[in-house]
Amino acid sequence: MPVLRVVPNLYILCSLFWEQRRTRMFDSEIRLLELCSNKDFGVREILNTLRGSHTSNMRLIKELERSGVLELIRSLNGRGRPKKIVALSPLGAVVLDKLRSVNAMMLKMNENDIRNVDKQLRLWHKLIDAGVDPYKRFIEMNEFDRNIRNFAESGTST
Amino acid sequence: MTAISETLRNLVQVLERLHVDYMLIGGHALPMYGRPRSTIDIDIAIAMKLPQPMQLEAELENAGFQVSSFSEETAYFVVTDTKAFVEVEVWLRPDGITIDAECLSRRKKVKIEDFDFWIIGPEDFIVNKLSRRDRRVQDEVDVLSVLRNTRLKLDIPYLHKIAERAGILLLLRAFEKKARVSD
Repeated sequence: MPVLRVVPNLYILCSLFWEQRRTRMFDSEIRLLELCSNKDFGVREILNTLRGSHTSNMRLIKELERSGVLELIRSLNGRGRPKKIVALSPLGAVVLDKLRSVNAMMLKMNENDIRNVDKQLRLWHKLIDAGVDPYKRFIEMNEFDRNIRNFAESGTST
Repeated sequence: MTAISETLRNLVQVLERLHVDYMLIGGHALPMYGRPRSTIDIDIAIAMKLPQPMQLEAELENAGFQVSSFSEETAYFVVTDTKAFVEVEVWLRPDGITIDAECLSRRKKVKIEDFDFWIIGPEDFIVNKLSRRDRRVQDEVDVLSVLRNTRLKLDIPYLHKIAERAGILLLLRAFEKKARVSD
């Protein structure tokens, strides 16, 4: 009997960790910006370092250059044809910082959360149909919760 | 008095008149033990004994509520205050918990806006949230906020006992560990 109980629990635990996994976003953008912030890489070096096709990575470099995140600087050092360095612009430094923090966030949602949003939305529409201002109702709900919180903290409500 | 408080007061009056034990569960019970969050659902769990269902339905309708159909087998039914348009989910079988004498004795009485009502105890709150068949990440966040509330003294033996009964002891232990690690 205890063995039978452990199996569903293991399943629940696995699904819990799966749901709580860190979901990586903007992977290629971050990789590209990280490369540019670390070292003076030329376009070819970047294309050879990044994963994915050269065409799509080149498109990404151009796109980020157009939006002012990257700058292509002509390097005059050395002999031969001047090298184009892909550098981070001041805006790019800010964007990289923001992307890092977004990437570190956990995705706090599963299918049931989405179903619940749908349920709350249907309730929202029902309120509108009944002539009740949903925003006012929302504020009232918050006031109700605040009163419970105040009671829990001090034994009295406001 | 807000529409929600008025609806809850009217509902509680009907339940008390019929000697039906009840407690507020779900998101609105959270501010009592953890970090409050916004929700527009109201959930109440009741301990129903036969032959009360028919009587309860009639009394609720007399008090201005519209009642969705329910039977002994129903997990919950919906009661709508037709005047203020507030919907309340009334649970006959809340997930993971049994509304027995021990559970009822652990409820907390709250007084807001001049009326008293009962809120589920913290241990039953945790087990109910973790046992939900449609458990959301939000429910897990709610449980963590209760487990991390250092001002709250949980009855751990009772919590583990009811978690084992609900078949979620291993899951609860994982959350206890998570709450300790990320403190």
